[in-house]
Amino acid sequence: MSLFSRAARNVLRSRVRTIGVALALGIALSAFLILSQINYGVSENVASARAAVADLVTVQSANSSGFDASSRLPNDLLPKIAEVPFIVSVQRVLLETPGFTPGQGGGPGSGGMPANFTLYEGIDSTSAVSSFGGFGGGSGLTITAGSTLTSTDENRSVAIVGSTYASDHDVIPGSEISVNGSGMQVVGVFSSGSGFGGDSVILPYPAAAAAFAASGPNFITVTVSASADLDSVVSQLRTVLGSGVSVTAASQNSGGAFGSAVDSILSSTQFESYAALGIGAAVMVVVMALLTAQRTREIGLLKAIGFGNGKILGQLLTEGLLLSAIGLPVALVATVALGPTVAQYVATSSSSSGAGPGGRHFFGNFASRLVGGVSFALTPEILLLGAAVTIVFGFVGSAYPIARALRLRPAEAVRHE
Amino acid sequence: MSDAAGSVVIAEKVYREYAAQGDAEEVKALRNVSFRIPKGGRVAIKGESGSGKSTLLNLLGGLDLPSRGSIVVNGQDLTNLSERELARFRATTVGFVFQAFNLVPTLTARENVELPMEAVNTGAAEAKDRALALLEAVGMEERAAHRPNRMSGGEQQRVAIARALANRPALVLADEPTGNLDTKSRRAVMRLLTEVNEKEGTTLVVVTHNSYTAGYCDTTLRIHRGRIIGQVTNRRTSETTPDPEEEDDAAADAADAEEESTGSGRDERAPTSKGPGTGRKPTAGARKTDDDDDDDDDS
Repeated sequence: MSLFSRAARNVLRSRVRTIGVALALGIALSAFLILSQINYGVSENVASARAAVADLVTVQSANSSGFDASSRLPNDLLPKIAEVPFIVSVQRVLLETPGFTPGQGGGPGSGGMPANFTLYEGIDSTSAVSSFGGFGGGSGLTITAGSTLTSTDENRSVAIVGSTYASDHDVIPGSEISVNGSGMQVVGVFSSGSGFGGDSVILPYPAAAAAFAASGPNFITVTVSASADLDSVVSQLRTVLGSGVSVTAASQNSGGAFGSAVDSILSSTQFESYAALGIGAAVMVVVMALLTAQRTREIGLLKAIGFGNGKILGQLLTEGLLLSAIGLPVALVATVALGPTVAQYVATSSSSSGAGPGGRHFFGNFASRLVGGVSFALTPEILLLGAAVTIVFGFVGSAYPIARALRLRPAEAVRHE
Repeated sequence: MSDAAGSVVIAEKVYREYAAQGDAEEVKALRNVSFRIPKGGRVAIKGESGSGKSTLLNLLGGLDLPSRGSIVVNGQDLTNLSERELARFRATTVGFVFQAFNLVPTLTARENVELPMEAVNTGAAEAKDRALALLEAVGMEERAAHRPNRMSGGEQQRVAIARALANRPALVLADEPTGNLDTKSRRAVMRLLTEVNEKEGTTLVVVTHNSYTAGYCDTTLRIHRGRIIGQVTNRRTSETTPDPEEEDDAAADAADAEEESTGSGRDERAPTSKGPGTGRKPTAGARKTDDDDDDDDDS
């Protein structure tokens, strides 16, 4: 009889135990796979978002939240910026959040914002709106109805609105909306990428500045000719613009609400995935220890009749790996079935803890988008990861029984009652 | 292979001491034990509980090593063997039969017999053939596919004997092989062991506290407090030799039969006819002196 067959029979000795182990290991392994996949997917999304803004530099008022009138930059910065070499284009961004009171919590993400508000965003280059993706950069906007803003719209009172806004205000392309008392015609509805949520309105910069009587933009986004020139441009801008202005590479800007949401998701999923690993390993150790403790005499017998330590080790390791493998199918099924639900829960908990209640629309959606795109299909990567963890569980679970078995004195074991 | 003098086992000035642990004092399980067992011999080791007879058996089987002295089995000095060599020695030179049978519960009778052959990497087909032949030899061929929990104690011990013979050992060590058996099974098992000894020339060493069982052997080594205090040449137990415990069992069977016929109840907790002073006659097969400790527990 082969070692494998004997090990399999030992592992399957008790049906109830086998089912219990399969469930416990399956749940632990599934939790690890789901959380790892969320962690990996979010990291990928963030990396993708950062890559999309790899050649962008953000200029804003130092120590500002960036969302209020006091954060505005003077318009005379534009000529100074234009003097710096390697700059391809300059984009002013005006942000207004009516209903948001500065100083109530220090800015977005800190809980100082009302539960519902709309972000109004004025941008210079309306033709670039699709690729620019609105504030925060990202993978761009998708127009779901009507059309996007074009270069011909730069001096018109037009707007595109997010899908949440359109839904909440019953707006379709052709509708007229009021922006701080100024009428704007809606030309399109978009669903957002990894930038702001759907409760926003994007306008040409002049129309937004006029509607809100803004003295200047909240941000100036500078596009550099090549990402290799980024550091040089940042350095020169800091020199030219002085200390009252903050100059950062957009890809490095991980602070604020977005960074907080991302960090929250990454850190919680990482910690919880490690916890799941620990639980799975603990289950294996306990079950294997119990399984072999009940068989002290049997293991002693094998030694007594001439099984060397190598054969004993081989048998226990095979048993550990088989026992661990029992949980793998359960884990894979649970990963596919429960992955999206767990991901949504993670997104919800991250948005509430990371962005505060006021950020439900902005940051909740942001977290949802970061997590929502994560796939839980049984890709080779997931299968490989599951198999790898299964093997690790097998080794970890076998370690103690093997150590114990190697120390076992057969003379005592065969007399064990 | 035995030594030039034809001894399969040579024990010279063997000591086995267990170091003191905590409050427990040092235990001197064996003291200055020397003896030889010739090839094909049948030896019983007899002594009271704690006398060191099982310790001695473990040393002969390479399950344990002496603190001092030497044990040579089939030409191999066990005290000079590495852990790996000892395992090999146990697999090829020794066959063990235990009081508690020690069959692996998840394996069938045939698979249990195949186990020692796996230890020496015998091919699967050869191991299967050999296991079936051995099971046939011990009268268990029809139970080859059965697991231990579907066998009686006597049947399990017969399978255990088949397992002990799997690798054609030079020496079979039996530790109270009849201790858990009724008288009929005891007789059958001892008959089986002696047949193997006679047909295969396998040397047999039996640890027992039972004079009837010891009577199946040529010689009885008496051991007391770790020392061999005597060596007795037995007049062998034969098929006609009465087993004193068999009389007890027969009496119990008769009582059961009477109870069934009369329908009268019997307190199951009440003692049977077995007890001090009843049915404890010296065995005819064993020479004197060996009956004072017949009821001792296993050491």
